[in-house]
Amino acid sequence: MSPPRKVSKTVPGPHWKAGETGVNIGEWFSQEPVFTEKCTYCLLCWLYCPDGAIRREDSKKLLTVEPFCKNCGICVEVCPVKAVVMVPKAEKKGKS
Amino acid sequence: MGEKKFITGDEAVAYAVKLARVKVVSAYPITPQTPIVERIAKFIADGELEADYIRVESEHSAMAGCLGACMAGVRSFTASASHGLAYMHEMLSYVAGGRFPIVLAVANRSIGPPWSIWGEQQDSIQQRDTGFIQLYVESAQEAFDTVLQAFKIAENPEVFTPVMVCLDGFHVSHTEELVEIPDQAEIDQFLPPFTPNALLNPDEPMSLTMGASDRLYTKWRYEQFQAIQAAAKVIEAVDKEYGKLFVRSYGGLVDAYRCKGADVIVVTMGGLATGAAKEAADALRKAGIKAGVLKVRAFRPFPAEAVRKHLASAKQVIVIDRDCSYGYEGALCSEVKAALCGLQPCPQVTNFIGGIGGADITPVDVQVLVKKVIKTAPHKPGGIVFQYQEEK
Amino acid sequence: MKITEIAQEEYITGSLSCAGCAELLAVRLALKVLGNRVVLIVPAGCMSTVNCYYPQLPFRVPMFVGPFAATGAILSGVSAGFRMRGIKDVHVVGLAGDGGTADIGLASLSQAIVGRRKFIYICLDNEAYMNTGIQWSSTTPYGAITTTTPLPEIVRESEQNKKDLFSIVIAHRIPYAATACPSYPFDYMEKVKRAAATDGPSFIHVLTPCQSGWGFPSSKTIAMGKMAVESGMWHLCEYRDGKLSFSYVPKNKIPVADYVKIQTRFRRMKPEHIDRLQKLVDERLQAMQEMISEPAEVAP
Repeated sequence: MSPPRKVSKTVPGPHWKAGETGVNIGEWFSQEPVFTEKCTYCLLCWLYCPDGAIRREDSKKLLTVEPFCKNCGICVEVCPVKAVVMVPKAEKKGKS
Repeated sequence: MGEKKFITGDEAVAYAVKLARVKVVSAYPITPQTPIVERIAKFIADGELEADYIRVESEHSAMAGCLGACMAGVRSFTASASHGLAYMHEMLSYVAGGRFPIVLAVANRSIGPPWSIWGEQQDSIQQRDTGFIQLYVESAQEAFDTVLQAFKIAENPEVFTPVMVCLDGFHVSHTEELVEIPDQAEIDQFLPPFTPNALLNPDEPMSLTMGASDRLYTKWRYEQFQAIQAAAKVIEAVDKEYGKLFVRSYGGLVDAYRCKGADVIVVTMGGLATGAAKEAADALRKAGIKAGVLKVRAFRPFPAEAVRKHLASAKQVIVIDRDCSYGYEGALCSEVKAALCGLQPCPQVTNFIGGIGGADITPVDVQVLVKKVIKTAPHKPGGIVFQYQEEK
Repeated sequence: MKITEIAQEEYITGSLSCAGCAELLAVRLALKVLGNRVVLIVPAGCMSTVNCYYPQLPFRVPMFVGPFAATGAILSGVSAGFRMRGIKDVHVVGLAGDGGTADIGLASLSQAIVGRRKFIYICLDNEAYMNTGIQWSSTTPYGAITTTTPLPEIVRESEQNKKDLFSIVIAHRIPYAATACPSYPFDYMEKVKRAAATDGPSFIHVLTPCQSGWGFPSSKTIAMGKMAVESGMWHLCEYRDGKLSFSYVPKNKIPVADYVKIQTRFRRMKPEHIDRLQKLVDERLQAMQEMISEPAEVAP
């Protein structure tokens, strides 16, 4: 865990600047989703991801996933054309 | 230049809230504070106070409403007593720990059973550990002045701690006296508009009152601790400043009455005990007994240094408690004793627990008590005297 | 609303919630509609506890971890404060759980609605006190195992199935209220939009299937919500201008038995209990249909 960041001195009390995240959740999970060529860019997986971990590149119709993906598998499940597969992280590194 | 009004302590508090330009009042009625919120509602209805009155369903929600308003960036106020204050308990810790500058008026009343609507200080004493600053007033005039001072103390950047202003139920809350009320313009000079912190502000997003473990938690608690300690000096400074502008001031943390050279000093809090003790001290002095009264105005932060200073050369100290920490003794007595710890020689301390459930404490009661203590000491040192304990 | 029109900005990332958490999805979708000019009041519950412990602060918008019982009152206070300051462009939103709404927070919510100040109250219903380890709440369905109802068949409180929180809220004649589920995201987001546009209090009761507490694989969250609606265990309806309507009526209602057999929380249910649940669900649907003043409008 990263060391604590400085508290805002204008506001006394147990309050903190929003959005500071010191934990890399992704480290706890061993898999990640891969969006194969079957993908029609319907964006349902993007919509249904609870963590908002899927990123869109509309111009290229490309989907990528952020490191904090929790491997819940919802994206795999909701894809109407079964274009998303969950693979071990090491395997993906080998592919690229 | 202001006006004089013949009003009760509760009404005086309402006038102070009006002049403080409070913007949100979130309150629930309970005897004996109800006239406060009724009077405020009338001010709003008559257009004399521009505020939103949230009529909540419980005291817990009353303080929560104030907290919401404070985070939205406006000055807020509420009042309670007795069972209501107990219902508010969680929120008191919340508001103090979150460092929100809210002012709460308490018309001190007993908490039953035995059921009683009458005066006692058990309700606010029970809340002494929540982190609120606690100020106890003696009269309707002092209630008015202190509520205004309370906003200034709470909103001081070194403090940012909520303040509880306590007035004796019925004895001060419902008794009419002549109260001097300055002009709005004069009060505006003393109490500037509330400058909101960027708490709930989309331009500066924050996570408020968040969770923390051990080190960070302790660090924040230490800051809270330091802030309420710093409040002691602020309470004194604000009282002085008020005195310069409006003539009246109350000694800051304590008010020492004829304590110089006193052999016996009666320590009191609130109007009933203080009033009786001051009159008794005058009568005793006339009769040759060197008596004095130390009125504790700020109970939190406890003015240990001032208490020690004024009581050090007395032989006997009698602490009047309109409360009892069952299982030990009156709370004020414990705090006084702790403040005197280590003094050589140390005054003998007797605890008188009375004026509970609305029982009266008269100047004669205090005189009798003082004479009795002088007679039995030092053979029968200290001890607790419960009012009426000798009656069958 | 087209999927491509939905905002891409993410206002909550890095949450410590369980994988596949429907509450998190509900919050994420609500923020997509509301944008970042919001303030969130989040009492004790999953959405505060997993999102507010230093050093992980996933919310990128202002949020306040509030006392359990007082969400309604805090919302009233914030709304009043903003109004007194002339601030009109910031949504005041509560994100409370079923425990914090139907149980400990009910009185405060009730009075807040009566106060008629502008706020959006979103109740995220995962049907138990999930945050503290799956304890029974008044919205736990009949027959569900929780840690405080290990023998659900002898639990008196849930004999009548879930407390009808929605009926309690609309009994206040609130300007806008709706039930929703993130498994029907467009219906839900449209309701959030309507709530935000309401001049006064609004309430959305969202069923959020909980993979940890209900006992199903995390990937099945969306499917579970759909089954809840298709079996009648949950309804999608709307209360607007004093009128109640269904947003969606399943054409072929599936038996409750199909719903309970795929969640481990219902594993103690015997045929007679399932029959009873089916009966309760049918009765509730009948009662609702009697309250309906308009024919069903099908959600987009």
